Amino acid sequence: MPKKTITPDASEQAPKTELMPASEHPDYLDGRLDDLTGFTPNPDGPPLPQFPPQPQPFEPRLPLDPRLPLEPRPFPTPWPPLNICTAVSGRYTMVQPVLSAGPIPPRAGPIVPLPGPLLPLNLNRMTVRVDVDRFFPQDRISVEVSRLFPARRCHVIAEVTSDRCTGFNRRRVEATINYRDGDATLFPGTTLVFEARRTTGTGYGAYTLTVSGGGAATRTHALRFDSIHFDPVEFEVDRISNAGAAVTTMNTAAHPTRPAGLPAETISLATVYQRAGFDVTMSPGANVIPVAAAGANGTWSDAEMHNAMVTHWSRFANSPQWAMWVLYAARHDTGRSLGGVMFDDIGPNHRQGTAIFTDSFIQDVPAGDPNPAAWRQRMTFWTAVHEMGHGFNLAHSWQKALGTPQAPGDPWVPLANEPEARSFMNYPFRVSGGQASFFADFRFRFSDNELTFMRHAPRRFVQMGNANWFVNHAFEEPVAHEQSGAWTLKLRPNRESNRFAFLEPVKLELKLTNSGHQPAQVEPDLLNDGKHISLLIAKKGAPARLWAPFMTQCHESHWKALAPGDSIYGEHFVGATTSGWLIDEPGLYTVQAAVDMGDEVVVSNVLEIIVGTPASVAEEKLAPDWFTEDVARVLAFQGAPALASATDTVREVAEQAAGTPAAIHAGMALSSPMLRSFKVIEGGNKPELRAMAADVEAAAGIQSSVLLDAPDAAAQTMGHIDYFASLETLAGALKDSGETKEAGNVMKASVATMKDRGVLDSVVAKAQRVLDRMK
Amino acid sequence: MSEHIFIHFQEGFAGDVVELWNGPERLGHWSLTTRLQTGMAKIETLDAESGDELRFIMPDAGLNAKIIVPPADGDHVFLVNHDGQKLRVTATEDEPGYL
Repeated sequence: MPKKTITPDASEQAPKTELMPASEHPDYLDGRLDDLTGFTPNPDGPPLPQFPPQPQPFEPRLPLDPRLPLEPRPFPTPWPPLNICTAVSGRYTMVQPVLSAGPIPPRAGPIVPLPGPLLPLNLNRMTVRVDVDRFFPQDRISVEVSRLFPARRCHVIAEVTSDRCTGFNRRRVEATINYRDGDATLFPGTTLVFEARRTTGTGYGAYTLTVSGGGAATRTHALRFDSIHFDPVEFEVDRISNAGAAVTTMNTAAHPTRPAGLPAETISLATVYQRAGFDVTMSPGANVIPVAAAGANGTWSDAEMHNAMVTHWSRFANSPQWAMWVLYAARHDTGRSLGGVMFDDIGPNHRQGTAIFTDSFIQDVPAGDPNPAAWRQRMTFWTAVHEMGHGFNLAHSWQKALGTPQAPGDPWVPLANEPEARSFMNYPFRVSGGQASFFADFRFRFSDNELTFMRHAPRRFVQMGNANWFVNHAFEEPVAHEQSGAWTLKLRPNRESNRFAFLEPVKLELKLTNSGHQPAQVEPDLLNDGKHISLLIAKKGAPARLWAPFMTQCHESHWKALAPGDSIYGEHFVGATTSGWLIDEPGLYTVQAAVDMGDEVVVSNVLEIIVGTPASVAEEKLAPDWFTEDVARVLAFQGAPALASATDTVREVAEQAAGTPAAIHAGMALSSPMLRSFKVIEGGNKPELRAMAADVEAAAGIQSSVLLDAPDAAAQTMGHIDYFASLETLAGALKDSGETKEAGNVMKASVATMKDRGVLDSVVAKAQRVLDRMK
Repeated sequence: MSEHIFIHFQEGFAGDVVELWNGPERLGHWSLTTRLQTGMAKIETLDAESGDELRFIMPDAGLNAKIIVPPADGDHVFLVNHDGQKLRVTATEDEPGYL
């Protein structure tokens, strides 16, 4: 009877080991020990710990003995005092200023202040990643800055030039910025200083980042410690029913071919990525997928795996997220030669799914290997980490420099290939000496370049489902804005100068131009419907405030082709928003707009406007009642009879400030409700709908004076769109009330004013057609 | 005697057309793109005789390479790589693997 050979399971052969605590691991730096005097070790004293290998030519650092006391302890003479600093690596966020919700102190002058919206004073968000200790430190500080509005972002990476422990838990890390991405003006400077210090207790209590150099003012930001990891990520491991058990752990000592100093421990997929800097969560929703999902042939195509991912991955979403699906299957359609693949370069969100094929060459143990079972387990585990690395947008070690006009992507920064790297991203059988040589020197880690990328590159390059596979597999050229250049948004006043009168409701025009070379589809109401536009307004020396329209319009989605160079226009009363006035004092203001185009946010120029001082004592006296939320509503809706007190104020301005721009707006707000039968709800607990009778004659009397006595002044302050629309509305009301001749006169005046003011021919022609129909 | 040939088109192809000729006979032509996450573009299987001279041609790049099918007991595996300047064909006894 032939003797049956039984290959023991790898875990049975290797000594049982647990995961080594980080502080005991030789690849882990616990912090810093610096002496104060440049001491010489006492030959009779205890031996100094050895320096771990450092990738940078820095001053060497001592790994802290995990048994070090939390409090500094005097060393016996002749030892000099030592400065002890525990680890600081991790993710920090900028501490946001907190606004008081209490009463706002009164300002000088006649204007009654209104409480503004409780916007954060600082619209910037800042995330800082400090990487100077813990596992495989890369001696980098990276900073991500984004501004809520207008949407802008900046990302910098700085290389550490100095790292000192200046006292018990007083750490100072200096770094020089050598990479920028995004809008450089958002984060000017060349040098970063990260400081962590003890406040009360033994641990760190305060963190700051100071930015200086490059001619920029020095700024210090208070930081809050978030995590020892740089980003969170969730892995879900599913397997096909015929793929065998998913190998998600391995004993580093199970196979005899390994580095001499490699600790014996059982590591998992989570361990590897935790040591790469991620806060790993393993999804509890792991599935066993029936083999029938592979189709009739029993092997897997990329499309079938993608479908399986969509069906079986509990976290699947067609959007970027820090989550990845890992599938253990038996075999790919390609055959036994494909051991694993990051298959997800299908659809709009790449790099979310990877697969490991257990019935493939990764089970082919080299002849004569001393422990085939351990070899297989290690190779399967290694393959899983490798494919997941592709999910983080890591290229193969020999492809780091790849980037040609034909290739789909370029490196994020110029990189050299690493054909001999002992990294998860190299093929073990590709290096000199083959797989035995590889594993003899492999410490179950990624290379320094790969760790720098995963920890510090702009997050969209790394995050699953974000940048396409191999696009910026290492970085992109810095760009000023994330703007495609296909559109230009211009924000402008409807006048030659940027000066507005005191009390004048500030209206601004928006012009969106197709700047591309091809016709483009656009929603024609984009600039006017109130749903796609945002503005930020800041008075000089004051925080910026967000403007929102008084109303938004819902309409059926429709599109219009806009030829290259053509534009659409919009106009808004930006001086006030739903919570009060934003432009209510004399002085200099900056305004910027952004329009949401769906696939990109197009940002306008920054417009500066000047608001003049009161022209008279009467204007000063009117200001407190004028700059109220109710008056803003009366003006925004061109009349709100239900707001009686505000309407009275508007009437006062129309009479007492006659001839001013404010009086023009006031006149229109008072008269517009009279052009038609105006419905109001009255009656308190028993509301009744009542219609106020139209008084076209009275309204026309006011509006003819307001709009036509000084047409240029009216068109300037109302803006062309509202001004000519008001004339057309007036003409229509006159015509409907039988005053055809008067209606024609209004339209004649409208056409003449349009021509005088150089309005687009198409708009003039449209008004002419309205006029022709009135004859 | 007819031999089984496995041709692995590997690195360096980006929409490139490659033709394979055996003497005056064109055995195949393919438009190849290397899949970067595996380092492989395509695996083709065909039959040839020992002593046949196989010529790989990239007509657009003006590159070519040739290899003579050796006598062997088992299957032949040829690796084809393009480094931008040259087209290289090498024979290997080991079945390549991709990850």
